[in-house]
Amino acid sequence: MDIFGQLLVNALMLGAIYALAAVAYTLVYGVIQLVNFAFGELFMLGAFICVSLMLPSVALFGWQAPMPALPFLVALPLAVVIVAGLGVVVERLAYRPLRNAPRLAPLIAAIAVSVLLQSVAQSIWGPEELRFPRFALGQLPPIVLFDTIYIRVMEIFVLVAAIASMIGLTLFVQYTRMGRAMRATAEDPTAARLVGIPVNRVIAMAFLIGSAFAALAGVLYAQTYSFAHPTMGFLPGLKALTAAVLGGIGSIPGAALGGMLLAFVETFAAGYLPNGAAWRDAVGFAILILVLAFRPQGILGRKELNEAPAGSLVGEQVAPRGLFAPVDRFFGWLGQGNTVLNIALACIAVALAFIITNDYWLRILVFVVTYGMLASGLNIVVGFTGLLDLGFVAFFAVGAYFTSILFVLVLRGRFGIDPADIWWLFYANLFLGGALAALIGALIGTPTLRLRGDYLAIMTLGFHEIIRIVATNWIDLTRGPMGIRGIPTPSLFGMPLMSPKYLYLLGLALSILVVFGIARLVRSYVGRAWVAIRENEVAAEAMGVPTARYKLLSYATGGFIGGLVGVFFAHSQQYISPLSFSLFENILILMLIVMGGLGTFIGPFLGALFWIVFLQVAQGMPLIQAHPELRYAALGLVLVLLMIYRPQGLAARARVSLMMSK
Amino acid sequence: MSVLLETRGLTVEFGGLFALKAVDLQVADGAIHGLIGPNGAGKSTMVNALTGLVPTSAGSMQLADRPLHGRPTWEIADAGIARTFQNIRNFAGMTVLENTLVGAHRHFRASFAALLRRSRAAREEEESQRARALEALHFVGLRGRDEQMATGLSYGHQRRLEIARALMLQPRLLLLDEPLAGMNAAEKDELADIIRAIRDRGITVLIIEHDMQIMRTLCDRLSVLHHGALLADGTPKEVFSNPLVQSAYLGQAA
Amino acid sequence: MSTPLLEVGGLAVRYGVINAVEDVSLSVAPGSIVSLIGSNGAGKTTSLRAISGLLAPAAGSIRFDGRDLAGVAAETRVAMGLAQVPEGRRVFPRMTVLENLQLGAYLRPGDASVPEDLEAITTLFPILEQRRKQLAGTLSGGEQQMLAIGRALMSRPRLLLMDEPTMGLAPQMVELILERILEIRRLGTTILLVEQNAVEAIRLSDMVTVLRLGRVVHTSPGSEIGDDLLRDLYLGHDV
Repeated sequence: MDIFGQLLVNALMLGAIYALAAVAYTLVYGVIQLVNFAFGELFMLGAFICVSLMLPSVALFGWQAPMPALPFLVALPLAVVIVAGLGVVVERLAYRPLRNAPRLAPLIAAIAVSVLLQSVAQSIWGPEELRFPRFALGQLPPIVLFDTIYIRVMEIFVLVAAIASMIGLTLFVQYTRMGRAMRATAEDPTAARLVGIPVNRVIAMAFLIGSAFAALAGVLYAQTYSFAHPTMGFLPGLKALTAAVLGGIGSIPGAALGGMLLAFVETFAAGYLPNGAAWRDAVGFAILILVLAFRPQGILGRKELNEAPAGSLVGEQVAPRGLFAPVDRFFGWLGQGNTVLNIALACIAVALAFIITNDYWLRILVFVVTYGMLASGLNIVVGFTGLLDLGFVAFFAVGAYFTSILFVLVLRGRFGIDPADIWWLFYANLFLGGALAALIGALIGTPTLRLRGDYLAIMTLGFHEIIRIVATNWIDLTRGPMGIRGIPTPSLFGMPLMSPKYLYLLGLALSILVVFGIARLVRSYVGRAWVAIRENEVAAEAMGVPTARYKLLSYATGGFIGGLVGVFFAHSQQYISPLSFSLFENILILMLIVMGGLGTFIGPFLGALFWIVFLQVAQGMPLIQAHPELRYAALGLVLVLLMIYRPQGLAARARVSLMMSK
Repeated sequence: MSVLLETRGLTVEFGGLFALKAVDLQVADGAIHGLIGPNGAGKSTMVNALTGLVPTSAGSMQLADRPLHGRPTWEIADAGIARTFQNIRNFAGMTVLENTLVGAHRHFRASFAALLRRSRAAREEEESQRARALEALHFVGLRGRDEQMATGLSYGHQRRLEIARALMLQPRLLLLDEPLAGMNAAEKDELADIIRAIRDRGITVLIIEHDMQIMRTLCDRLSVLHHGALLADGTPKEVFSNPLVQSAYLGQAA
Repeated sequence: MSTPLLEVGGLAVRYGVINAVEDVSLSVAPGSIVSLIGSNGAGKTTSLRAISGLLAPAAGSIRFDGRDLAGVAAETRVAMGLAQVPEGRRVFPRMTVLENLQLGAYLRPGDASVPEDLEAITTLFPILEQRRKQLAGTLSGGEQQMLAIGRALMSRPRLLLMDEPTMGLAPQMVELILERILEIRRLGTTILLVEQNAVEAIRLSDMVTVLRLGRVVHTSPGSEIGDDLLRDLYLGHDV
């Protein structure tokens, strides 16, 4: 009984914050069916702005800037208003131009905006935590209940603020003219226009209110945990989205219910399960997956909200204009699938190993081929089959951990076998690691089959987080955050391929095999079935394609490649830790394919090459030296622009033929 | 003549509203059977129910004595019912030939391993289906357009592509949902000839169409749906002289 | 003759590569009922959607009360006095009947005569008064149609565009709706009606425009349209 009361208070607190942020997701989803991933970052910005306003001075871009040192009760509403305005600007610039685009486009734009905002925040406030300043309200002595429960005055404030805002919003939506217009737009945008409702203004209003709620949640969260940090919005953002889905996305009471439910389950799991604090997030995501699998409309949601059509991002070929025309011709020529050209490209790639003598740059090339292969695997799922997968890196992790545990912890650690004696096992593991990942891919794919578009993305994201949490916390198996060291480098007949040159050549050989394998599958009835699902799932099914089976096949094939690359990665780096498999890696790989060209063979490698070379080149720039995170901001910005002006990516012309060559 | 498709009491309900009310439909093997009725009568719902895209709340359907109600769409297609869509649903990011070959999906047998090795059987299978696809495209009048992107085709040609793709299934029954919509008179006549040629190849056709001029001469039999129920059934002559049908269409008091 | 309230000239609308409507011209005199009839796929709904601003025309002009509507947003057209009862009714199903009607008056915030109009509409369709607290999605098809008409009237339109208001309704309900259309005109609203129910539409209308395959094939007062022409249009020539 001793901790129960305190857990109850903690759960209420967390639930209030989740509920507020969940309202942001639910409101915008309800009106335009977009999962605005950037709310996590607006949450974070709310916290930073409020803290900055409360300080006498704060370091911005490394310069000490004077600040008004406002009291909390003034800084809070001001921060909320500023972030609300920012939310409207984001909608206007990044999402409104995509209003009629395929659904994948705004979703990817939202992910890109989120990366952009996070990087910019880090540039402004720096990578360190900003402590939440002391303020009068926070210093009041706590109220003690039953001798064991301590309630701070601020906790009461959080709860009251949350309840008041929820009630206010409910009344607004229920009884005001604008609120009615919002509900009408959510139900039927065309009919709404016909009664004279300015739909664009209503959508802007949804973003305004949603961003205000996200900011309020962010401030209250930062206050509760006494800090602000550029990545602080990521996990609470995911949780809030989970809460919104749990309660039934689109429903405001659902958001409140979902937020409270999630917070209670997490808090009590953390309090009562053995080592619960480490597993609390996994419990939350497991609930998300169960809900999506069995009741995707959530507790209070309505079914039809989730029956959004899948969308092809690649769809129509657009005639290239201006700057893109020569780029287009070049990549079109490069990716045309001409055998002589392909051999020539492979020869150039091999020759690079001998031309470049600098080990540093050869290591960079190892990264390029690793990322290129990984992106090629994800491209099967996203590019060819049209399923947005945010959990792909989990397969990469499975392959890497499989081989590392086997070599280091089992064979050497337990049986004392020298890796040099079993050098061939690495090659077998490429296949076995791939097969294991493929199996897992098919398993976790099964509950996602009924879901489409954004729901699928959320579910795969949940799976990814669970695998990452397992890798971090199952210390006996994975050595946790310390990672696994001493993974042997690949070798050939006892000759270690230690130098970057040989690793690059090995990676290149694997890349050629991977692309070759993918090409043979894609240029057959299997590839045609995948692309048919992407283009029009109903028509594919009506043409006799068992779409569920082919989606699983797509996951498994992509997973196989992910696992294989994981094995190569572990042995080429000789060290792995959960940090290599973060969600951010997954988002990065996705952005690389989108940039290079979804559904092409060359696009993933092109994206990887551009990005990794850019990372290196940018290191020489003074601005980047001061703010390395701006490279990610640049990537985010490029992605938003690509979504608006060229959703097919750079190599759009390199469309892949789906016919077996004669 | 034997019955190919038979539905008994087929009912579709959306939240209390009946889109189809206990429809008993029989389509004879080898016929061109028309399904007509005013807007909102339930014709497209019927086709969607027959292909498993809309769940039925009661009733049964069978194709040549094989029960198919409640089966998933791809299995119904595999059993021999192919279709086209009222709003054209070609695969936009694919060429005309690739589109057509998706219709041949059920004829492919090659395993993953065979595809990766590019075995002889896999190559032969691809080659023979490609030849069939080219023949189907030729048949619907799209010869020489196989390398073009599907989206680049004119509207009328997109309709034909959908038919070629459906024919690749080698169906027993072909469902055509308003295949003539939006075409001029000459195009309609050409397409009607193609539909007759399909029938002559032994494929039964169930067609929804609003152009009664064409339907009179094209169809062997007509069924009329009105308010989700079967109103009349018979030869075009019988159906058009039926006063019930006239009033359903023109709105005169029955 | 008075100047027309609505004048459409040479209207063309395309969906991608399809010409849905080509060279459609029609005019609606103030206080009249004009019907646009023709078989399915003739381009009636497309024409209506171009007039209400949901579709952008590829060519031609639409003038309302002497003002060119090119580039005017659908919302603004409602403010100008052009309301549409859309095909398939499209009431807001999870909002109450009263809320649906209030939304019809969205562009009249603070207008003191809104309650008065609400009352006028419930006089026209008394059932809506009984059902005012009910969710629109739970109404029968005919009641939803009345609500859709009521909602459009709440914007106080000068021209009411009605797209197949009798579609899928039982015969008695068709009768009632058609009778109310006459009543709405009597109260001073001009009506452009799209109907499949040709015989009734002709009986009701001052002028009838017949579309076929996206083109106007006939325009005349309703009385001049014989049964033969009609049967031709809908059922085709006899063999």
